[in-house]
Amino acid sequence: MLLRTRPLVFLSSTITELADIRSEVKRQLDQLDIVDSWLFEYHRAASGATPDEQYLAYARTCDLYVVIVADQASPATQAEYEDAVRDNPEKVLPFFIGPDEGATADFRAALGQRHTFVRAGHPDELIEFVVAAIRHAVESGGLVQQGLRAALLESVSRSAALLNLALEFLPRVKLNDGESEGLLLDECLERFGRVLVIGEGGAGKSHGILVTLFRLTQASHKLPLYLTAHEGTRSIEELLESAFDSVRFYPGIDLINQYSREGRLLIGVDGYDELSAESRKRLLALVRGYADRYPRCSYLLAARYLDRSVLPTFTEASMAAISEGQLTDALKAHGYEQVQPRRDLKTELVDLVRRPFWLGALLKAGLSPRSPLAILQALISSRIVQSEPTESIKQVRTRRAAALLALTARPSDRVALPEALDALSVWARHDYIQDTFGQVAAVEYLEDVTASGLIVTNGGTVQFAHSLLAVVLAGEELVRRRDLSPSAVITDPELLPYVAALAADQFPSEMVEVLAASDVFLVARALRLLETRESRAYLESDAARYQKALSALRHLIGPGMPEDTEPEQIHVATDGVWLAISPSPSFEISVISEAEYEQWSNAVRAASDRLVVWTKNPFDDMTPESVAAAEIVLRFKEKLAGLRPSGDPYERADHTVVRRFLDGTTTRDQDIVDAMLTLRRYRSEVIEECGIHRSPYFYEPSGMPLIELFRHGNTARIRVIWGQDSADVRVAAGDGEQWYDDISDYLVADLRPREYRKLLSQVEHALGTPLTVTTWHQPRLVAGWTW
Amino acid sequence: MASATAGRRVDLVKTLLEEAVASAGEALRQSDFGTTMQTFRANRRKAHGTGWSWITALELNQGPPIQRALTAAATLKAAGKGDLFTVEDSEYLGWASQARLAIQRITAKCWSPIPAQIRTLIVDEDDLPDPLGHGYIRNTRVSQLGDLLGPVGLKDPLSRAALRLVWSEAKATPAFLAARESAEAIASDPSLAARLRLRRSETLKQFQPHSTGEMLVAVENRCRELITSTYANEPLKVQEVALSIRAYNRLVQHVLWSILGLAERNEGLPPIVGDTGPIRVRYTDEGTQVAVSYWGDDRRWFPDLTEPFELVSPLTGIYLITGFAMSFAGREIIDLTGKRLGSLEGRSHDTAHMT
Repeated sequence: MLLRTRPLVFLSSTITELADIRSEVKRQLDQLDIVDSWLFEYHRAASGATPDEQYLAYARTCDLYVVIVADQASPATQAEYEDAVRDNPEKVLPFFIGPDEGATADFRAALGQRHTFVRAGHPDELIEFVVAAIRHAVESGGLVQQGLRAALLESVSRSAALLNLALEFLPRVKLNDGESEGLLLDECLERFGRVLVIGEGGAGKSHGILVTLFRLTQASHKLPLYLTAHEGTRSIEELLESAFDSVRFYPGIDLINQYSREGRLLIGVDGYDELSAESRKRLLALVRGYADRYPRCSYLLAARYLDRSVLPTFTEASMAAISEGQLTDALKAHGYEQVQPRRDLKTELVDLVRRPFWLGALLKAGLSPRSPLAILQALISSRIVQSEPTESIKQVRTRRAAALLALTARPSDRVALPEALDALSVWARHDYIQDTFGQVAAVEYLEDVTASGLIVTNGGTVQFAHSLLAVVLAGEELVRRRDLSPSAVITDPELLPYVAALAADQFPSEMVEVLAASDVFLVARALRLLETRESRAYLESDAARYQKALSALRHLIGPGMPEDTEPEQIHVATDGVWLAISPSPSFEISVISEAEYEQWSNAVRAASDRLVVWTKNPFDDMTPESVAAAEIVLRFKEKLAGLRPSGDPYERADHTVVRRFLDGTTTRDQDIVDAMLTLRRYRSEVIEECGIHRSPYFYEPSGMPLIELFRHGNTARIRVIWGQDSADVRVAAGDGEQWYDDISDYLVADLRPREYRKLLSQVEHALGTPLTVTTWHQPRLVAGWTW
Repeated sequence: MASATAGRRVDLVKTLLEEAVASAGEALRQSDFGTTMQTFRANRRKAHGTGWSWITALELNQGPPIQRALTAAATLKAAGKGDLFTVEDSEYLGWASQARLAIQRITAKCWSPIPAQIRTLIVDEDDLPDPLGHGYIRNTRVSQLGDLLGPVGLKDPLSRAALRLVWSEAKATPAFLAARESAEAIASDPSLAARLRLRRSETLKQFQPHSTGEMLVAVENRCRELITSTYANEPLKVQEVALSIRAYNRLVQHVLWSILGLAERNEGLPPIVGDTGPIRVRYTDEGTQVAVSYWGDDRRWFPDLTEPFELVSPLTGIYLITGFAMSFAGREIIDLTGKRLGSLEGRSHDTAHMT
């Protein structure tokens, strides 16, 4: 591997004929100090390899290939050229000096047909042209743009191959201004420059970023850089270097900074959701810092959920659902002319197919899967079967190997090649693996998985084709090992719902254990992955399991009554079809008729004024543990609703109050600090009361507030920065960013209604479903699908 | 606390009053009265789709059929926008005014033999002047005489028989018996009657806006508060009679609302069946409340706030919608909260109001 820190320019020509010119070009490039140059006469190294092997290697791997053609023909130069052009025709910069006739006529003609050449009248001019061309190619980034675009296209194509997703599918977004619907993501980026792309797993964020970067660089000289963040990310520059590196261009920090200063970069950051909480925080700080430092670049950041206040200068855009027309067209294109989604698809899937990934996955897997989890599993199977259509044992081992790699990579969906091979080697040596699959080398396993298209090996890294495939495979491996202790998954919130859902039928009590160590949002996600099953219900054992699970999960929604320390007891009544469940002092089951229901319900009301009634026994369709989990999520919603403070959440202080405040009484600063502290306290109380304080969605700021007031006439915008040693209020210069709050929002008697509304909004994001719509009553749709 | 459903039962499941209400709703739906309601409703919806009708816009969430149109019209007039009525609006409002008289005639039958001068002594939501409040049909305890049903298309024997059954069953409920006992107590105690008359007079005076600048919503909130607190500081005896008459008034209002809601539909109402998920039932002093979800389909996907719904075993009965929400992501899911009619037939209820 070449160790380089900036672009390498290979100067190719006959040496003796142009010795002076080559020396001078080298001297000027050294002076320019933006590239490394390679000239055979200066840079050849003592080596066991032949000289031609050496210079051909450089011709192939250099970033810019300058070929100067004079009078003498040189097979060596032509060979270098052939290797260089095979690598990347865009990197070739041809220069002619002297007459076109003679020994080099054919070579000149060939170059002239394939490239834009420059002719120099005399040596000085030639030197000037060469140096200027190199300088321009490097400083504009022009030499690498095609490579970067090709890399984007390759990624999009890979995804298209995986999901049958048309390359022409253009992602649309909606802005949270309540007005802009169906805006193309590239229009959005052009308009705002910094866009936070929000969407559930499978909503098309990655595809959206790739396509947007590609489209926006079609007619511009900007450089499209698709960055995938990873756990060890320490700087944006490092990610940029890595992105350039993937097209074998090594600009070096100085040039990257220059590109950034000049606004030549169009940066898309992905991979946020695959990071640990700590790394996410770090990445956001890095993106924020870079965007502030280089405001002329454009930025896209994809995340499943992110509080916009974390990136206040970014415009939030949510991935829009696929339109009815697009959906119909896609179904038709795959031979499903007669399919009407609402009528023909399982209820659990109707909303999913409005998202690109899920639509693509369903089309690939066929329309038979009954749940989101089943779609993913079917997609994995289809990939494996496609690559290995006949040998079922090979299909099994490929899936196992893929699952092992996925688990090795967690919480990321990529792993270094040596680490992947190590993991496979260790695994392949296990007796039971050898007994089942025979002696198979790690490399062979890796090749099989690669052939399936589930992973891509690129630049020393093994990466899964889609993070959702990685997560479901990793979940399969854990469930297969029955390694379901909460500690195995609790630190991986993306994986947890999958593990729970995969374990639901086979290991229900382990599923409860895993869920009990999570939060209510992860419970909701796990529920959403499940499919209904038809099984015979055994009321007594089912009811007992339900009650046990309910007790185990109850703490997820916060403290309850003192008696909640005891296991929750229930009284179940049924006529064999319907089922009613009431809290009760003791566990009881009554088989009664509907005529007796009235009497029964009156009797159990001594224990509770609330009942849950199912018109059809839920244990026929779901495990008792899943029914209990749904009950927990529903109770959470009811609890949160019960905490709503009275008052107008939209109340604002009028201008006289604002003016009095801004005119500065002696207590102004203390008042606003107190208000902020009160708000934080209130928020913490609600969060703790609902049991969601452990959720990463609801981290609470620590320390004291620094409050900045951006005064503009008789009003002001306010920004609060927590984490200070002591509270402070400053009147800052400027009008403040438009995203900062208006001070009139804070000068009202009761701040709680507004804060409660904000909290609800966050909960809705976390659950993926509006709280105003009580779809919670349907456990399988209890949440949206914010995986 | 009242029992879950306090009334007499059909097959020990649905109450006789609920059954009578369902029959009356169906009979009225097929009568000239129902046809007129359905025609006006269709016209208004069409107008809403193709043009603009202030009545249509303001009618939303304004309470029971007929009353909601009159409330909307009064709101517009109060806002000085009475000239915005279209010809169709005026025709509709003319019919609705007549229909309200007919409804008052029907409710008078539900109250008989409790004299109008006694049953109206208690202040309740139907005393609120238009456009305040949108839960109760106005003046349903006053006495209306004469043939008021015929002119609005309620002369067919089937409808009349069905309505007779309703008021007969209403008067067989514990709620009516309690109201009648209270009425007898008032009739036999002139000082109690005088006290109630005074409270009524004082309260009604305060229903007027305090100033011309007082917002409608502020007046309404103030009036509701007044109604809630009218008897709060009165002796127990006064509170008891007020409670029982209000409880029966609430039952009558719900009966009316259910019948009118059924009559306004173009087709009969199928019960909510199938995959409803867990139905949450809550027993309160305001009756049995349920929260239920179901999938939208061609017949039932957009609930109208004014129509009742039916549930199946073990919650069989007629429910009035108290709220709904819809999710349009994927297949439509409709969430309804409702209150069971049968649960209002008991004797003891507090002063809470239908909302």
